Amino acid sequence: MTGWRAFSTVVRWDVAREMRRRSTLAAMAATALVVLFVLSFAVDARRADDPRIRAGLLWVTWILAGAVGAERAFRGGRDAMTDGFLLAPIPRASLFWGRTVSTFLFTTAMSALSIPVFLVLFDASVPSAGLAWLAAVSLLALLGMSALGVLLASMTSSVRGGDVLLRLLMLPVLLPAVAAAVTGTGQLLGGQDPGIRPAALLLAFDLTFLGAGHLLFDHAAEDRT
Amino acid sequence: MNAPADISHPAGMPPPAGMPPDDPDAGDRGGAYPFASAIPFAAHAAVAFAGVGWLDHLIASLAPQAVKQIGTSYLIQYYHVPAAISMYLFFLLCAVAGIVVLATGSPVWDRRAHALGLTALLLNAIVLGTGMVWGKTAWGVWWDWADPRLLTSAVAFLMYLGYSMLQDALRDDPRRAKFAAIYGIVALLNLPLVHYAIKWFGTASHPADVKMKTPEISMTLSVAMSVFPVFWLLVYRWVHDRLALAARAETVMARLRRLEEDVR
Repeated sequence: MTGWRAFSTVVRWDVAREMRRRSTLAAMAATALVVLFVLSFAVDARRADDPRIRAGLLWVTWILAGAVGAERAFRGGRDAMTDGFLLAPIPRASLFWGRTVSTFLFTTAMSALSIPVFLVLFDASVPSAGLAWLAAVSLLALLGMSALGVLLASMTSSVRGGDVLLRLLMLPVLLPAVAAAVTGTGQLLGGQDPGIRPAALLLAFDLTFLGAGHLLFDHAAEDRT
Repeated sequence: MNAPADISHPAGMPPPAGMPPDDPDAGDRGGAYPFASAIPFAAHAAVAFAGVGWLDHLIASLAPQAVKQIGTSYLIQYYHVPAAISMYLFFLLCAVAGIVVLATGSPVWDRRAHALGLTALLLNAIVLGTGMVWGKTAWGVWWDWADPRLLTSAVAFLMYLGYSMLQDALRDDPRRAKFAAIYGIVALLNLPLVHYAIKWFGTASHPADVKMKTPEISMTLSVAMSVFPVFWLLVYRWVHDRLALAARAETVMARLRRLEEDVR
């Protein structure tokens, strides 16, 4: 099986399983909902009119829900697919790419679902002028988050207490992407032009961790029990 | 400290027949760094402490002049700047050792990477502490959310805290070495991104640096730059030898347990 076919098999398998069980998306969406509600209580929603703060709240929600998604990338109950895959003579990197893409798809779906809730709870609106930029910045950040999450989750998922460990390892590494995404989103929500920098940094982040995942996943997934 | 003596077998006795070789690094007794076995720990310590003493003497002789110009706290730069440079050096070495671990699976390099990561974390704490003291006098605040260097070291601290927690969580796991190596590489790769993220998206402009240039000051700074790596190499060696000792004790205990079972 070539790398490309293996990759598309992983994506199709993950998506098909998710369509049947909806366990990952449900867990992520529920987390997003809970976090948004808690945040709207913690930060008086009507007074949080600084677009940067709103962007920060949105990204905190997405990161916490995204970590749940990354955690489940390697823990969907008994996963015969992953085990079989690791035994087969297929480049391991294609499992990384497949899992990253499927996690990215689920995270994007969660983000799309949580935006209306966010807009209602915080009485916000997205200016139509920056909509394409907003989508681009969000997708770039979510892609980097998925790649990093999949690489780290492949290590922590089989460790006891791995879910806590995953967050401890993932959140600090995610900080540059968070800074770029929050700044970019905040400026767009405030009707400003964010310039090229947030997208450039997110692109660098994505390339770094897609590359690192491609090269290191072989070691991370080895001897998985 | 010298490499601990091999106490897994009584002196001069071959391991009993039927026993698997149980020394994890039999035949590969790497020290903390190349030629470490040729340099006694005490000699290294003597050089390091003499260097720090010399540095402190130089700093103390600068104090009256500095107090007049800026304030005593400025002198903390002689600890802060070389500590920061040593910290980045240790981050780099930790990732390089991690690459060697991934390529060869060597337990010697694994121990080196582990000790480098822990020492870097300690250095990181010192960089943060001295940086905050310096920031308080130079900029009037303990913590500046806009300074890329301060925040980069803060993020690095969180990452290497994660590194040490990963090492700890997987203590008995055979995959520990590889996973820690991967995270060490990931953390190093992230440092430039963190730096630019904070530089570009920080909330305020960075206050100007304080500069004081006289021959004595550049001389003191170069002494500090050469003394610090030697001193921190000593700390690293100490951490490394602790880890080596713990690993050896583990091996001996496992062997004793096996012998006990055989006797029963």
